Amino acid sequence: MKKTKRKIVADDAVVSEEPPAKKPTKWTNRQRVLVFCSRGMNYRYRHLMEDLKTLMPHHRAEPKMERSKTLTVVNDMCEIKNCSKALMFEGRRKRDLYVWMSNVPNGPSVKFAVDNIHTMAELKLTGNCLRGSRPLLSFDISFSQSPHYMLLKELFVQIFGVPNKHPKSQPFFDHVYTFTILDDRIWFRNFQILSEDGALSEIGPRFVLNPVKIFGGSFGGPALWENPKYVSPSKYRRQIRLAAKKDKYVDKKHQKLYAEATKPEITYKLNPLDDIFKKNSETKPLLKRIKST
Amino acid sequence: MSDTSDSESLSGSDAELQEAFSKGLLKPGLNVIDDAPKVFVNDTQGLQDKLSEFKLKLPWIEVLDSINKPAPLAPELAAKILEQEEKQENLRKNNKKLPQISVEDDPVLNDFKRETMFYRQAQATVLSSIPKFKELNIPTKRPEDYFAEMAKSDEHMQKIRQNLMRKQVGQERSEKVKQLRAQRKEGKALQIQTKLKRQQEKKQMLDQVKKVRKGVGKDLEFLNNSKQKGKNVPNKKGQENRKWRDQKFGFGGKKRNSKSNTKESSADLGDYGKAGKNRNNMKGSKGKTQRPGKNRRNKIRNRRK
Repeated sequence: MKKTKRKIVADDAVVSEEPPAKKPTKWTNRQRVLVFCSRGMNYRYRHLMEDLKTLMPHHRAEPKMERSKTLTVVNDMCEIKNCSKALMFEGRRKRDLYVWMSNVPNGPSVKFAVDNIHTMAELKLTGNCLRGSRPLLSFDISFSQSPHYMLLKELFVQIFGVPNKHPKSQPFFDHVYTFTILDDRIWFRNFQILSEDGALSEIGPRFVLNPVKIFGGSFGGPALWENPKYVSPSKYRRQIRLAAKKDKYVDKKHQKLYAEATKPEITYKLNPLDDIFKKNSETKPLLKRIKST
Repeated sequence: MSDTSDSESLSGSDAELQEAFSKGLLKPGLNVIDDAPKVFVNDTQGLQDKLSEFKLKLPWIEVLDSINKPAPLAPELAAKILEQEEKQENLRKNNKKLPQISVEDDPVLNDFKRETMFYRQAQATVLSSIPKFKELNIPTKRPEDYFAEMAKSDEHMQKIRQNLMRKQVGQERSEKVKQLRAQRKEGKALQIQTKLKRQQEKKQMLDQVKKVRKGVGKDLEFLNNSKQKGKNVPNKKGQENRKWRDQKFGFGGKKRNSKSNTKESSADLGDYGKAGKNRNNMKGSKGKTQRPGKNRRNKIRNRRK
């Protein structure tokens, strides 16, 4: 088959095409991205991180970070690992996922909330690509319209774009990343290029980034932009829960009022003379009256 | 006012409050301090400065980014979108429990529309980028004999293929069943039609017979016609078979107690106890008339003369 565990170059001719001395001179864009997560992440989010790692040959791994540490520690970690970018996953309550993207010594850094995650392992995503081939980066038109989106675009390009002539990369172009803005969020997709006339099939992963805040420095510094429409996931859940509760109470009250208002005066058509001959009936005085007249 | 305990903490703003009250800004009742609306930071200048500070100044081949509009909608995709919309509408019609909102125009809620939008955007990028590579003389396609590790493993791709196959088989089967059902329905309709037709024919014939009886019409030819047309003559073999079966198992009449004894059967002892001479003649005497004796025969002959 085509794919094997280790990189195998089948043809000697392919190797001889690229002289080894040529490679290092051309590798100019030396971006390295530190990809890691904090403790307490969901397995699904960890899979997403692993997927991104397989797609990014220029990543550096790092063990899980303790949550007690402050975020500024990440800057030192990047320096030690010789990385100029950081992609940090932060799980909260095993439920919500936040992602930090940062340009390391000088910033900017951005915090995103991540929704709608589908990992590459899902069976409906049928495409496949070379491990470490360089993706084309496709951006929506609105990435050129407002300053914060322009900044985000530059950050995405530097983090997700595989540097040219990176030693672990492949020399062919067989996939595209799309970043689209819809509903004030950034939707990420990864497509395989089946043919050069534009036939595609999706590889995955899928996720939606909801930008929360842009900072001037790396993991800190002055805030440059804040998302006015952002509601934190836990707050959103709480709102929904409270709304349901409030409705429950109001519904109950309404029902009670309605029941009282529509209560029938006569429940059953009774003949008042029916229990005339019963001992304790209230109609007895009436009978007496009838007799006396 | 100054005597109350809570006024101590508010003593700084006490004068202000009194002033406000005298102007009529404050109304009697519970007054709540309103929070100022939250101001969201949007430092446009800062953003632009930061962008220019860390932006890479490299040729396109190093970064491979492109901003573009989605590619024009291919006709088959448009057809697919229409199909999906119809499907959704049918679903909504058939299941009243589903939310009865049409989401066709909203790309956030309409999955198919949204995904096609992303697809088209990627398509536009591919279509615009490939010529750039060609210009730079960079190979884009992987040669057939270039083997390398893929992002998804072989086993995983096998799984995907199996899943696709399973889905396809399932779809085919459901289609077949649908077809069968339709056929059955058609057959039933045909059956009912023929039945109605026969009933009508019969009624017509009976009407005509009535007319003839009353003396209105005298033509009896329709009987022959209708017989020839309507009566389906059963085949001979079948008839014989029926006859034989009727003979063996009986046809019509009472079937209950047919084997139990009756008065006659219990009285009938058969041949038992009869005189030996008569026993042989029992059957014969019943069936044939005996030939008269010679004397009698002569007498009869004389009488005729």
